[in-house]
Amino acid sequence: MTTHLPLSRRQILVGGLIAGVLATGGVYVSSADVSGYFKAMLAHDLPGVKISDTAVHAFTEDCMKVRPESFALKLKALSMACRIAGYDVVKTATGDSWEYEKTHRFFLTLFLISTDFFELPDPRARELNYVGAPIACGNPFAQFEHA
Amino acid sequence: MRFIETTALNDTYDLVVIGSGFGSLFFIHGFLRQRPKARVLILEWGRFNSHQWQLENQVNSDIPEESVIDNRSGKPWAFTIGVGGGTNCWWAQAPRLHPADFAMRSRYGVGEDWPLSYDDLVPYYTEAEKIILVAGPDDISAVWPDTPRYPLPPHNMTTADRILKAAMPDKHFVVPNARLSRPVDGRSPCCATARCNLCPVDAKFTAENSLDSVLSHPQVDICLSAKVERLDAEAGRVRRALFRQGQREFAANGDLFVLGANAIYSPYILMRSGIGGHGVGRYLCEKMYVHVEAKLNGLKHFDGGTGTTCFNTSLLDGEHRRTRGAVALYFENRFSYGLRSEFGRWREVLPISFYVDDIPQEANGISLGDGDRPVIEHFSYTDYAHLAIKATLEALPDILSPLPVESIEFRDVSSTLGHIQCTTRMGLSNADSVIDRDLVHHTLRNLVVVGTSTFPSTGSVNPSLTVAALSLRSADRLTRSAS
Repeated sequence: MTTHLPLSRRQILVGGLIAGVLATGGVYVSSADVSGYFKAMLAHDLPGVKISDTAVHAFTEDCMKVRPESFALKLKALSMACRIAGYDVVKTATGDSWEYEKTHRFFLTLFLISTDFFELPDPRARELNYVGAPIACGNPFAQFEHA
Repeated sequence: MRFIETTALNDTYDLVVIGSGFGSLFFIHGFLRQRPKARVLILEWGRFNSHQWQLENQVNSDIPEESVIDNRSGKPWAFTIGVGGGTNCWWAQAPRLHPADFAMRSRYGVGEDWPLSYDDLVPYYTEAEKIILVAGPDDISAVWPDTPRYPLPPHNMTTADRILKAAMPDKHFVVPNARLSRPVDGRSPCCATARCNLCPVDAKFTAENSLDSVLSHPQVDICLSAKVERLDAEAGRVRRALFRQGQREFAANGDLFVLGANAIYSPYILMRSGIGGHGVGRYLCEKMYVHVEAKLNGLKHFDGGTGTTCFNTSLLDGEHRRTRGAVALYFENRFSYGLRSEFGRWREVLPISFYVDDIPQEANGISLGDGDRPVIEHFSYTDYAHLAIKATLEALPDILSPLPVESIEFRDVSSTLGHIQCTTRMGLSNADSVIDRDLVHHTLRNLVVVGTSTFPSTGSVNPSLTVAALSLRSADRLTRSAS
């Protein structure tokens, strides 16, 4: 018989915190909090990839201005939760939440296409260059007859 | 473009046009072709917001939709107020309606028949496709008969599309669209930015980049910030359009009037004017817009040449339409929900969107309210649409079986598709509709209504090309009958 471990009190608090921030909308989160969240997220998702603090900082600055607002609010909630409880607890607490996965994939994708990640034969070979979110033509895989 | 002050209005115009979106501008295009010396006045509520202005401000209009409607419906309604109307915000998909969309009652016993057929529209579809420079495939006549070669070659399919095309050549097609697939007259081709409402390279057809022949025609005056309040009719004819600019009211006199505000404001103006017909302001309808993702095993996606590459007609037409809606499956080549997050499997995901048609309900609609904004009281979809979604989710594993699919995951239903329809429907008489097959009001014979409001049913796909074709046809019929 499989026994599921109950969620820890910490995880429940983190889930509640995220929900609370999303519900109220008004919360101050510093860019350091957001940077911290991104740093942890990228370390988790891109193991072995060299990403400078400067790149994370620049990405954070860009994301603080991101549209749509719904993503910006979720980013604030996740960043605050990450500072309080740590990335792993946030990830566990959000579990299979589609809303979380959507937000996570949105920012991960935005980071990847804002760098030269997909241009490198081995993205672990050297530090990534952060060039910023593309204003146009942001799909690096698109193939055109007219190209 | 000749923008005029109210003090410079002519005493009377041959043609007074309210609104400047697809329906209005394509009507003027057809009208001036036959009557190039006619004097035309466009009354546009909004401003002229150039493409550059829209990019700088990241909006299509300085007038937000929600500020001009009293929306109690629980869902948003998307439209653009300003010169060019919906040509600014549209995503440039340019399919024709399916022949069966025009005959739902007689073929399937549901909804309404249109008072004209697909065949009636074929020459005007073809003309509209030339004007907006549709890029599309050569084999589409299997779906829409008598479609000649499109002006521009199709955009590239993705690898997943090619597999599906090989497996079902008569059901999987490159979707025709008005995003350039080649450079034309200094405009860049589409580069798959997938933010078509604010295309950064101006690859999409807009009034500004492609209908200057209408907007800057020497016979056309454009009066901006002119909010039409009502039409004044007497002795079976519309005599003048009464409009407000700032706090003052003005009148524009004319022989022929074209009402192309949008599917909320066109019926609202008719209602304020006391102009009737069955269903003015009722049957407000939109298709449903549903999203799924297919996680792929080892197949890399996102290598097509535009934001949406193909559409699949497996569920578009057939006997199922007796009980559930038509579904157009669109294969997305954009990061709708981002790349996958597993390292190295970034591209192994295929976003699919689908449009679901619904039967317009008389209970859905707008009312005058007691202010100066239309009230959208209520809105709901029917089981006809919900059953179609359920059936589509059940059918997708089979449709996608040629692909290495790991899982198919439902994502969400968008709150709007941006296709507001059916509020001044065309039909046979006043008893069943507002306007006739030529878009002319049943009793006020110098009043034409254009745009998506005229559709008797939602149809299975995007409406803009059909709006353009209907306007071209109407202008053609009216000018020929007058001469």
